[in-house]
Amino acid sequence: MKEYRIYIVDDDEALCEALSYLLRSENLRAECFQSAQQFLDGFDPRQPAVLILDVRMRGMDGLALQQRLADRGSRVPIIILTGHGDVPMAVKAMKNGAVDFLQKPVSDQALFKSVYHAIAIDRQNRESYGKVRDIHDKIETLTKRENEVMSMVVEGMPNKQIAETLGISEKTVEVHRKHVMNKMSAGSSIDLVSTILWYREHKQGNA
Amino acid sequence: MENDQFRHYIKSYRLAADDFAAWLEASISIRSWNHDAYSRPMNESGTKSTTVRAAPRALRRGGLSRGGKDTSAEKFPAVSGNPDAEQIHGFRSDIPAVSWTVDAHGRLCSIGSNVEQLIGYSSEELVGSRGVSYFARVHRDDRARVRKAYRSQFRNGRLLDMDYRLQHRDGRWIWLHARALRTYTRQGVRFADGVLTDVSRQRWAEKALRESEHRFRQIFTCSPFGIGLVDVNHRFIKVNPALCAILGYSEKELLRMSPDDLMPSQDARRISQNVRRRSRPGFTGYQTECRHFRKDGGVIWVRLTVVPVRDEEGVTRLGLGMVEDITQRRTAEERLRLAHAELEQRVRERTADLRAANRKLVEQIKTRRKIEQELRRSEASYRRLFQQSVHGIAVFVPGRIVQVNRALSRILKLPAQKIIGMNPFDLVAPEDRPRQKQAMRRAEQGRIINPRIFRVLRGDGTTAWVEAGGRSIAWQGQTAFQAIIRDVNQRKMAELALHRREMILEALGLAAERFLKTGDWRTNVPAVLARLGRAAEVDRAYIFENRANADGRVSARRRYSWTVKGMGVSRERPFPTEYPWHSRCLAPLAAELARGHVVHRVVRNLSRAARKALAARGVRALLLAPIFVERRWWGVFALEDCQTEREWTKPEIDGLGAAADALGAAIARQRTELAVRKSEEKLRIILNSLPDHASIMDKDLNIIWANRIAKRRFGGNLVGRKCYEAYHGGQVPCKPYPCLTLKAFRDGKTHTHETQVLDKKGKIRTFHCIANVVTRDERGKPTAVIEVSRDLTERIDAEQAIRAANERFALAADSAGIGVWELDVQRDKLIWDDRMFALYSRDRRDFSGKYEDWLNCLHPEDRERAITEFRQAVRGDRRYDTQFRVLGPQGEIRYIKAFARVTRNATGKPFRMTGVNLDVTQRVNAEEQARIRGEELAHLSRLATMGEMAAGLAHEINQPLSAIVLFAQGYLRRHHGAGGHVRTEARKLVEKIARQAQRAAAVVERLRAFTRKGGLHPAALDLNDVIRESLTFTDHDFRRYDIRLVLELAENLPPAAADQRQILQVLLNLIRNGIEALQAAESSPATLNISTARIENDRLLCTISDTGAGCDDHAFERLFEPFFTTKPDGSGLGLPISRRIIEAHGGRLWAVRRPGGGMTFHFTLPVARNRALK
Repeated sequence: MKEYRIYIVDDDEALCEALSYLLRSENLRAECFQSAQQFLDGFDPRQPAVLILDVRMRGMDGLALQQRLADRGSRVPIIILTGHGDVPMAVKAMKNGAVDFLQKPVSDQALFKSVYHAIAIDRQNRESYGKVRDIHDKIETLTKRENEVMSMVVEGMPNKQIAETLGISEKTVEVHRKHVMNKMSAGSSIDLVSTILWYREHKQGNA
Repeated sequence: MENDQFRHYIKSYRLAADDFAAWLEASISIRSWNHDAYSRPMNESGTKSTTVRAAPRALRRGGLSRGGKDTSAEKFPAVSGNPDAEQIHGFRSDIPAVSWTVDAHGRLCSIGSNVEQLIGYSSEELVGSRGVSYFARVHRDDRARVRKAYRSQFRNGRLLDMDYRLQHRDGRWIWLHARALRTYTRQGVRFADGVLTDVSRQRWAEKALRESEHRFRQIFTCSPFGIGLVDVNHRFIKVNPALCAILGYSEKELLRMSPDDLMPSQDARRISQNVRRRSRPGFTGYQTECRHFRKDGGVIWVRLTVVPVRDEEGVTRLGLGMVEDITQRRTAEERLRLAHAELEQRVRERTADLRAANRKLVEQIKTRRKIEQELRRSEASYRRLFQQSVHGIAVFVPGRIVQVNRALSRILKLPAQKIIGMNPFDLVAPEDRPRQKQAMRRAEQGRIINPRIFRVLRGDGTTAWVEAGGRSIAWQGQTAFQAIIRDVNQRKMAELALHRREMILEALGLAAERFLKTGDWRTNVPAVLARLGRAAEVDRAYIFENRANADGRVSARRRYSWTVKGMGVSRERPFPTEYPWHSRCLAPLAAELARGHVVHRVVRNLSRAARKALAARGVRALLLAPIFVERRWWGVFALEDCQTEREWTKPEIDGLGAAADALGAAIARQRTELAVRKSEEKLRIILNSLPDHASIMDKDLNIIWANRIAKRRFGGNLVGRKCYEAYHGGQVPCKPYPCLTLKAFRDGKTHTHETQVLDKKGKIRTFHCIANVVTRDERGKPTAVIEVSRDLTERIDAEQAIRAANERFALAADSAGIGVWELDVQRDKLIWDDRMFALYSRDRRDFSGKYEDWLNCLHPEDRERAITEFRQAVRGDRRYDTQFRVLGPQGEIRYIKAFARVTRNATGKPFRMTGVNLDVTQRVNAEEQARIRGEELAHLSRLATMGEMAAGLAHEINQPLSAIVLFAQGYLRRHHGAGGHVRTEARKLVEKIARQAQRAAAVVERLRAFTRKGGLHPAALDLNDVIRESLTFTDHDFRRYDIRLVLELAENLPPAAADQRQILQVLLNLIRNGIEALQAAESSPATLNISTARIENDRLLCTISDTGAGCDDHAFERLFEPFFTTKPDGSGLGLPISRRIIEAHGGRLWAVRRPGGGMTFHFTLPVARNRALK
């Protein structure tokens, strides 16, 4: 919990200070940004964080910033804070992947609940991301021929068919397969297939 | 008596025939005789003593010297008796020979006593110095020769032997033959002896023969009978002109012919047989009636007399044919033949006697006998011819007529006795005398006088025309003249009449030609007058022109005159200058002239006053012909004769009348020509003034005249060229053939057509051409055609342009519902078109066309103003551009917009006003509605602004309130634990702060909720429609600031789910922002672009961009901040409200700065899902 930073982006300085004061009271590390651009300039996606965004701001508004972050591939959880609680805006923010939607004046319980929920989600995201990264690194070590053979194995093709398709001997396929198994640290073919399938499912958005 | 005459005639004829035969024989054998020697009176007493004179005396007794007697019994005693035996006896027994002696000096020494018988002088008278000189009696011409011969015989011994003439004591000339017998010398003196004989007869006979032949040849030639001499082979060897004339052949032709060729063959055969049968000795002629062919094919009946011509031995050597008129000679022939036979018998007897008697005569005497015989016969026949000739014959010696025949006596109406002895020239009319004398002189030189015509004075005092010809002859030793005179008086008179008539005709011809064919009649008048005057042989000729005097009375004044030479103006014979027709003496003449009659008068028969007036000028007869010009009496043509009181002949009267007519025609023609020339000149000016191209062509399409335009367009040298060549550059007449001009030439009618021609620039030019006949010949055939071509191109173009403009105008007026009116300002006449009546809801029948009518249609409240504006427009103070209300019959009100223009004349006075009326009721109503809607919209806008202000206020207040709440809660958490179990004073206070803050937030929330009252009423609407509606509110501004609007509205847009009024407000905000930005920037081109599009599947995008100045970064950042504005009077709420409205619809509104300056605003709206909403 301590490694998470809570970023507050609001052009109202007093409100930022009030929010950070409340969050720090629960030992959360809050940081304030006066504008979206200021935030973007200092943002490091590797840093685990939760973003509390005011919708109406001078310059880039909250929704635009949300879009910009999505475009960068950031999966930082976002909590939208709005003064008037415009329903259409809330709907849009949620659609764009906001974790929660809070209306000013916000109560402390609702705020903390949302923040913790966001941290949980982010943690989960980060975990799967590491695993995908690991598998990805292992795949990178495979030769081109080994990659092809692995793909066919995942497809469920027997060695003989693989040999025919690639125009090489079964023996050679055996050798490649052994190398793949070793490199991918897979105990069995089933293990390999499940690993690759999971990878394929999660690599989207994390790569 | 008649019978006697007839018999006599026959005899003479017979003799004539006989003598002709003899004469012809003589002419062939070249013998001669002399009748003069016989006919001349010799010695009346010595009939017995000188036998030489017996024969002539006998001849004379029955001959010319007794020509006054006309009984045949007495007429030919010489023929019927027999005196010749006696004569011949004398010849033989008593040959005269007179002995003579001359000395060497030529003196007559002695001469025989019988010399007295020879020359009438006794020997005593001749010999001796005091007597008559013998040699002096010798003819002057012979004298020298004689002397020479006498002398020479003494010198060279050549004995004298010669003939010479010597004058008898009674004055006549005799021929002597002198012959010397010897010369001798006695007592030293030489002498010559010789004999002297009279050879006169022989000499005269020789001479006479020559003359006779001459004369008879003339008679032969002049004979009225046709005479032909035929040889034994039946060939003509001699013909006379009369025969030629009768048969129609020339002499040459006849000489190649036979008489048989001239008659039918049976006649020829009969005659031939008869002639042959009778051709025994003694046959002297054959007469028959037969037909003869003329050369021209005509057949004539002639009496043919065939007479054999025999030689001495009685052998027929030739045939003589005489052809004569049968009817006159029929009976005569029978008797002639009888007489002939008788005569023949006698002649035969006589001849026999003569021969017997003469047997002893010397050759010389034999010859003389023959001569005598011929002489006698010729003499007789000549005398008969002479007397019987139908033509007058006269013989005269210079200054004295010696012989005439009866015919001449008839012609001259004078007894022959009176004529003889007269000077022939006394008979010739004085005016012809010089010429005849001149001719006479030529005749004396031996020339023949050809027949000539002159006048002679007759016994009854009249003159007559005769034709006379002739030649000199010898007459008893002197030169005489024989003339044959023919009476040609009637012929000549007829000829003269004819001549005058011809002269008049010729003058008339001249008059007609000069007057009618040449230009100005006046230049020809003198020549024509002179010619007419001379032709009519008058003294004066005038032309008078009628003139009305000041008192209205008509007089004729002299304009032209001519007088014959020598008939000049004098005190006694003044020229007439005037014919006062109104005067009493001339009025009858004037009346006759005015009726068109030619008046001819002998002055003597006129009234006394007229006679006096005319006689004063010496006029004795006058001829007046009226001149009519175009049926009006113009004047008179007058001829005056001052010589005789002549009766005017028909040719003269007719001629003058015709001349007057010709002159009248000429004057009329000249008048017409003058008029024609004037009208032609006018026409020429007109044609030259035409803007059209006109030219006149002749039948062959040669241009004979072209007007100014044609010359300017096609060059000056058009005349003489072919029209198609000059105008179209063609080689052949233009197509379609025949062209207009040719058509006009063919049928003489007017033809028109329109033709189109490509000009040099390739433009189609339209010509309207018209061809018409200009002149025609006398048969009405066209001789010249004019073609006028009008270039209609400009007019047609203009017409088309006007038509197009009219159509456009009508279309515009019709489609726009514009009524057109026109007012004649001066006459107060107002004309409305149909649309006007519709606009004013009035019926045409109730409309009287007055200005007042229009005024009465107006709404009473507008009437006064309308009148004022109308007057101002008419005065020109201001344009007529107004609007007024029209009150309909049912009280309905219509708004009319009116414009008009005033047309003024040159002086600026208005005369017409043309204008249009336009029904703007709908527009006025629409404007009213728009105004109401705009007000409503403004109200809404104000409400929205208030709401936005409240919302903005709420937001601004909400922020600090939120901060207060958060601070308070943060404090409580930090200092009093999460459980809130420490209830301290501070805690209670912080909790109260948080609560009050939340209460304030609730108040703000309520306020915001209130301003959003009504909220959204989304419906399915067409975004494009809303945009268009918004433009109706801003249309004025676009025009006012000259901003170009570019609409790019996507078609088939799905409906948007939105509240129309709110979206309209957003659009108005954005558009007005754009307009204001463009207006402020004053950029060019100022363009506002509005576009719509469908983006994603369920969104519509609207973009509004301007080319204004845009904004800086600071302003751009705060663009949507409430109360932020760059405009002095801006609220700073337009964009925030717009954004709020769009966001309230689930759309977005944002701004982008355009690269080249200017702003672009985008907003999106969701597509309506439920179509039913629509």
